[in-house]
Amino acid sequence: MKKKMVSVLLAAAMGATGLVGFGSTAYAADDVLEFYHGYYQDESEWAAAQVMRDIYDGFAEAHADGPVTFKPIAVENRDDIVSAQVAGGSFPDMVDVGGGGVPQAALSQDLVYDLKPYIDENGLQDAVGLNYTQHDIDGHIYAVHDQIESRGLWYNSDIFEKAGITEDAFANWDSFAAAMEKIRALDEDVYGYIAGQGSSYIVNTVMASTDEGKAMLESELTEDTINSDEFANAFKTAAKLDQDNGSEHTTDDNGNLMAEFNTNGKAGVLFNGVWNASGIDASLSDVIEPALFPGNIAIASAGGGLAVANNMSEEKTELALEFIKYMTSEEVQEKIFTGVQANPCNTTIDLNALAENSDDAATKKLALACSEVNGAENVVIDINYTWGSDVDKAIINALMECAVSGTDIEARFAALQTELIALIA
Amino acid sequence: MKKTKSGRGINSMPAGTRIVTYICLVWALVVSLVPLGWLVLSSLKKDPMARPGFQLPETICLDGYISTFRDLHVLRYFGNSLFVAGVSVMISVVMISMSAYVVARMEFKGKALVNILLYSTMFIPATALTYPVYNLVNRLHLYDTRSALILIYSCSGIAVSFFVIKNYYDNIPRELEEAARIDGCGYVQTWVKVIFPIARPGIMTAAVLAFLNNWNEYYWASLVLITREKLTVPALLSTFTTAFNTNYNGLFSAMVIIILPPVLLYCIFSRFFIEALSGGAVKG
Amino acid sequence: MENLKAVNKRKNKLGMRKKGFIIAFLAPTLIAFCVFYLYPIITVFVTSFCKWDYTNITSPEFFGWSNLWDNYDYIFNKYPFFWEALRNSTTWAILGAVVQIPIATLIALALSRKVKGIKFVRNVYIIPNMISTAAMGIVFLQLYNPSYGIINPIIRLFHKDFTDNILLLKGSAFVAMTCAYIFFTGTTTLMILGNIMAVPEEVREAAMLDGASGLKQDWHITIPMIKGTLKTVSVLAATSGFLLYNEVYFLTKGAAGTYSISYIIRELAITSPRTQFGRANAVAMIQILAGMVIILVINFVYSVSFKKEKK
Repeated sequence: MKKKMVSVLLAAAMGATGLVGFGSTAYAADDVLEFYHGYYQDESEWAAAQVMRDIYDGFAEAHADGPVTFKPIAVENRDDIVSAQVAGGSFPDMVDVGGGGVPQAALSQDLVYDLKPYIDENGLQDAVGLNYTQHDIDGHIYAVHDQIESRGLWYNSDIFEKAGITEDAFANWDSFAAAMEKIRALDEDVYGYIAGQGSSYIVNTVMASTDEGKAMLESELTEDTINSDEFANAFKTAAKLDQDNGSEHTTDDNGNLMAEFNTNGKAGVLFNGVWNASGIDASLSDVIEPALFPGNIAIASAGGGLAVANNMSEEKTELALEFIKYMTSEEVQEKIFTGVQANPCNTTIDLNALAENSDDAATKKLALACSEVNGAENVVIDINYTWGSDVDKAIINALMECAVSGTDIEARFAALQTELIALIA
Repeated sequence: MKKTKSGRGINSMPAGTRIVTYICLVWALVVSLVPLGWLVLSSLKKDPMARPGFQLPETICLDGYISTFRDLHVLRYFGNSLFVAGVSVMISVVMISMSAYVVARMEFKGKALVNILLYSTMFIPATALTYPVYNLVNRLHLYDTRSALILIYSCSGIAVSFFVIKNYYDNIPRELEEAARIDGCGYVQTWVKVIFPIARPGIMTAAVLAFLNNWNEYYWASLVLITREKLTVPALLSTFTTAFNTNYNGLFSAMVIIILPPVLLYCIFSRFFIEALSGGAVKG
Repeated sequence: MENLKAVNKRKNKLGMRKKGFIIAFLAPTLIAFCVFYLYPIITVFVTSFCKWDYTNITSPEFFGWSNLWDNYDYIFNKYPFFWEALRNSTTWAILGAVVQIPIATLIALALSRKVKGIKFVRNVYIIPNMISTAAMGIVFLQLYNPSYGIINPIIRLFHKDFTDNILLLKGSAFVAMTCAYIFFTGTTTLMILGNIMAVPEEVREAAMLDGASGLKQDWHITIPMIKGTLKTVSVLAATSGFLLYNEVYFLTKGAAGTYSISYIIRELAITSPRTQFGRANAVAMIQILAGMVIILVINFVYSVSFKKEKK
C-alpha cells in the first residue's frame, strides 16, 4: 500500500519534472513581435534611456495598423534571459544583445537570422557602417548595433597644464608614461589615470601598434598569441604603468571611480568611450578633452546589437528587418547622436554639422570625440569581443594584481600565460 | 516568583559573565550600527565620495529619497514584494512544517534518503537550475506573472526552512503528543491542535528567514518578470546604475528604503515570537 | 483468539492511517523537490560526464567510458582557478563553523539576559542581515575604497606610507572579503536565541541551586540543551560560507586569489563565451559532494564532543 502510494507520488513528480526538461519554450503570439532591450532606467536617472524608448515607440506607432504589432520590452538582464532561452533551444523574436554579443551557442544551433542578404539587397552597407565588416562571420551578419562602441581616452587639460605636459604626451606609451610621472610629481591630490578595467585597453592598443599584434587581436586567441613577444610586451607595458599609477586608483569596474575624473577632477586621464561626453560634470566641461590612444589608435567595436530570431513567420521577419532599417536610418541615427549621446553606426551622417547646430556642450564634446575616433589612423577591435570576456577578465585581474606596489610583473605574466592557455583549452 | 525572574537577570551573575555580556552587546551594536550608520549617512550626502567615511554631510541632501519616492513608484514595488514574498512564505512554511514533522517524529523507509535529498538542494548552483525552471515557468504559461515567482520562491530554500523547523520539533517532548493521542486526537488533529501551536516560534523563525531571502531575491525576479509594473523591490537598485555612472546618493537612499519594511515588520513581530519563546511553551 | 484478531485489525488500521498521514504530509515537499530540484540534480550528475558547451548546447554528448573523467581532468589538472577556489571556499566554510557560531552563540547568550535596552540591541543586530548580500557588497566596496573608504586611513595610522588597495593585495583581499560578511550573524543569533529562551526555567533554577550561574551555567546546562540548534546553524553557516558568491563578485571578481567555487561555476557556465556547461557541472558535482562532507563532518564533531560532555 505504502509502496504503491510512494510510487504513484514519484511517478507524478517525475511527470512534472519531464514537463520541465523537454520540449521547447512557449512563444509570443504570431501577430506580436517582441523586442527585448536594456534601456530600462528611469528618465530622471538616465535621460538617454528615455530617448531610446521613444525611438522604439515611434516605430511601434508607425506600424500600429500592420498585421504584426511591434512590442518593445525593457528588461534588466537580457543576457541571462537570452542565455536561458538559448539553452532551451529558442531565441527571443528580436533582442538588442549586450556586451557579450550574440551567444556562440545560439549561432551553433542556427537560431539567429542572417541579416547580410537584406543589407546587401537594400544597399544598407553605409547605414550599418562598421557592423558590415566587423560582424561578418564567414559571410553572415547576425547582429547590427545601432551605435558603435568607440573608445579613446579623455584627459583633464587643467591637470596637464599644471604638470607642464604638452600634446606630445600621446605620441606613444613612453611619452604617456613620462606625462603620468609629471602628474604624480604635482604637489596636489591628483593622480595619473583610472586603472583596472581601463588598463585592458592599454594592452589592446599596444598590441595594435604592430601589424603582427593587430592580426592577433582580430582573430581568436591562440597559444601562439599567448606566447608571443607582442602580447608579453603589451601586458608588461600596461602592468608597469599600472604599478607606477598605484593600486589605490585601480578598479575592476570603471563605474566605481568614474566620478573621480568626471566630477571631482582628481584623475588626469580616463580610458573610456566617446559616450563619456555626457557624464562630464558642468564644472569640468571646459577642461576635459577627448584624445586618441597613444600612437594614434582608437578602439571601435560594433559589439552586440539587434539580432533577429530565425524561423519566424514571414510577416514578423519582415517587420524585424524593417526595424533594423529604421534604426540605422539617418533620422534615428541623428537622434542617437544628439539624444543618446553615442557614436552612431551610420557613416553618412555629418556629426560636426549636427554638433554645430546644437548648443549643448556635451553634444559638441561628443562630436569632437567621435571625429577623433572616426579619423584615427589605426582603428582596432576590443579584445573583449575577439578573445572573449573570460580572457579579458583574466587579463584585467592580472593587471590589477600587478598594480600593487612591489608585485613581480614577470612572474605574474608567466602565471597569466598558464591561465589563458587553460581557459582556451 | 521574583527569583525566577532573576534567573537571567544580569545583576545576579558573576562579574566575569557581566563583563563578557557587556562586551558582546557593545560588539553587537558596533557591528550592526557601523555599516548601517555609514549607509544612512552616505544616503544623505549629495556626493558620498566627495565627503567620504563618517564625515557629516555639508548639507543634508534628500534628493535620492525624493526621486526614489516620486519617480520610481516605490509603493508599487513594495506591494509586489510583500505579496510575492508573503504568499510564498506561507505556502512553503506550511508545506515544510508538515513534512518536517513527519521526518522528526515518524519512522519510515527512505527517511534517510529524504534527508539527504533535501540537504543536497542547498548545493545545487543556480546556473544548473536556471534553464529547467525557466522552461517550467514557460510551459505552465506563467512567464511574466507574479505566480511564477511565488512558485519559485515556495520551492527554493526548502532545505533551510526544513532544518530549522525540524530542529524545533526535536525539542518538543513526545509526551505532549501522547497525551493528545490518549484524548482521542488523530494524527492530523494532533498536529493541527497541539504541535503546530507549540512549534509556532520555530516556524516563525523559519518564516522570517525565508521572507528576508525572498525580499532581497533578484536573480529569479529579473529572469521571469519583465513587465516593470510587476517587478519586486531589489529592481529599484539597478535603476541607479547607468551606462557611465553610478548615482551613489540615489543607490544608498534606495537601499535604506528597501530595508525599512522588513525592519518594521520584524520589530512588530519579534515581540510575538521572542516573547513566545521565553514564555516557556515547550516545558516538559 | 477473537480478541487478538481485533487488536491486530486495529493495529493494521492504525498503521494504514499512519502511512496515509506520512505520505500526505510529505507529498507537498517531495513534489516541490521533484519539480524544482530533481531534474537539475540528475542533469548536473549526468552531464558532468558529457561534452556540453556552445557547440552542442541542446544535445550533451557522453564522453564514453574511456574518457569518462575528461571534464574532471580539465578541472583538476588544467583549469587555473579550481584549487584556489576550493581552498578558499573550504576555508570560508570552516570559518563559518568555528568563528561565526561561537560569536553568534556568545551574542545570543548576552541577548538572552535581562539588561536594560536589550530589546533595542536585539532588533538592531539583525538589520544588517536584512540588507541583501549584493547590496552589502556595494557598501563594503565603498568602505574598502583606498581613496575615500574608511579602512585605508585606519591602516595609515600604523603604516604611514600605505597606499595600496587592500582588495588587490593577496592575503589582505581574502581577509577583507571575509570581514565583509562574517560578523553579521543576526539570523544565526536569532535561531540560537530562540532556543536558549526555550530552555525551561526549572532546569536553570536547579543549576542555580548547584551554584552554577552566568557563563558557567550556560556552558554546562544551556549549551548542551541547545546542541541540536547549534548543529543546524553550524551546517547553515558552513554552507553559506562555502557558497559565497556575491562578496566575490562585488569586491574583487576573483582577483588577488579570491575565487570561490560558486564563482567559478558561474564563470564557466555563463561568463565564458564558450559556455562550458559540462565542465561547470563537474565543479557543481564537487560542490554537492563537498556540501555532503561538510554536513557529515559537523554531525560527527557534534556527536563526538557532546558524548564526551555527557561523561
